Amino acid sequence: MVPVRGRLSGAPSVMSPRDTLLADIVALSPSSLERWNRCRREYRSRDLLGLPESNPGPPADMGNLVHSLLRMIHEQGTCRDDAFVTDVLARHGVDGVGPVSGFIARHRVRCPADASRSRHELELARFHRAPAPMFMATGRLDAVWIHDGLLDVRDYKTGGSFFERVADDPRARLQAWLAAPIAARNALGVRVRYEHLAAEIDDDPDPFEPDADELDTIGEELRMVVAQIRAEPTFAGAADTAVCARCRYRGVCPDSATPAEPAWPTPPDEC
Amino acid sequence: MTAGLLRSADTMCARRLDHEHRGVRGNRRSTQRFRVANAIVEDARLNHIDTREPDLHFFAGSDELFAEQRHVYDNAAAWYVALFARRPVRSVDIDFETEHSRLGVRLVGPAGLPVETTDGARELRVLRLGGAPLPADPFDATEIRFAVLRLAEWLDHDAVRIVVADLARGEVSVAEPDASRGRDDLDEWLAERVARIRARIETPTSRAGVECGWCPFVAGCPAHRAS
Repeated sequence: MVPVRGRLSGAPSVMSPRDTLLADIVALSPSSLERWNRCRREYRSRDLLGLPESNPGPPADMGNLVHSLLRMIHEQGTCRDDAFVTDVLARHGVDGVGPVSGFIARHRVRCPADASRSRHELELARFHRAPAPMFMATGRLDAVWIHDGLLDVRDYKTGGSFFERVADDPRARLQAWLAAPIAARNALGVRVRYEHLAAEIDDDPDPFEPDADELDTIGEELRMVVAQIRAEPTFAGAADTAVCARCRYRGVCPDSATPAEPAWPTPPDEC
Repeated sequence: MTAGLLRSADTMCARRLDHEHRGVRGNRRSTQRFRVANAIVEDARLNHIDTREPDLHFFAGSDELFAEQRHVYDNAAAWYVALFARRPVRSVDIDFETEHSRLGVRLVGPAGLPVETTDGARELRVLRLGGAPLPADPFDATEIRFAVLRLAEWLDHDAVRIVVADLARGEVSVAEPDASRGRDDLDEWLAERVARIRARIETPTSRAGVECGWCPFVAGCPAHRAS
């Protein structure tokens, strides 16, 4: 027997599928964090394995259009200019009385009038180095306004409402943590506000204005999530009817409480 | 130069572009995202070591696939067999890189699945698993241009067919390029891409954004120095 003292430099290592699931630096985004909190197995299928969805949900065409229009309206003019808004909508084949114009109108009453600066679709990334584990948080903020000593982060919502307080939504907490360094550099506070633009939702949830201590707490929460991800042994599914019924991987998940056939095309039998 | 670098020459953070181009060793990335696609291509290649039609028996996959990956793999294998049925072909071994001496670059990385039919016709199969819709013209896709450039010598033949197949959706796009889709056009495109990359990495300024989530070079990145 020859004692093995180590691996030669450059020699291939043998790693199990579990070992190769995670990169050295785990990435977190508002969406991936939501999936992790909802179901470990869904998180693995989407965020770690990158698998095509077996049962895709409805297309997000309406939401994407509204986000895109709001960006254009604010980058090229203002939502308070009726003629300009009508022109932008018309250029995108949207008439002035349909649901899309309703979304824009409901945004208008929430839009900060006295903002000195704004950015739309702002990409942010914040790296946590120490203490371990390292992670990289990223996000794309729908809109950021500067007014009244605040860096006001807006998240446009065209669907349902699930939180009474923005502070209770882990996605918003991550957004606040992402925006915090910019706010600090400009001596501003951070606020995250959800704009629920659907006609059937009357009130927005209470905005979230974390102070420095709470932002530190969020950083620690995120670090603990990443530690859990790194330590996760099985990535077992939630096996919860309410969760599984909407899952986009329910057709391939052995843990699903609402198993389904995959919706993807299959070859004809004669093949 | 990899297909990924050529595709992202305009959009990738310049520091990352520079590091990827120079082959700088970064933090370890997850390799699981490519596991099913790699397994399908490898098993198809083995299927065609001798001249054969596609046969599901050659698509055993790995025992190490997760259950969800196994579903995707099995469906993709079934689509491969269905879409390429009754076409006996033999796979062709290719080098891992192709030197492009005029531009002074090496094209490195996978270049689809090159096969030959019994009558000597040559076919390049590019296998996808979902993602962006198939281009109406396969030459619109960077991966096809890259593969054709990688295999230019082998594809310089009377009868050539290029097939892009999405094995998640069961869709194919076929091109039978003629002389007008010549090497010159592709060389010109490659020269432009290489020039673009070289220009951008002259000043490899880092830029923080969503892309940082999958960058292996963030640990020493100036854009995150304050973290």
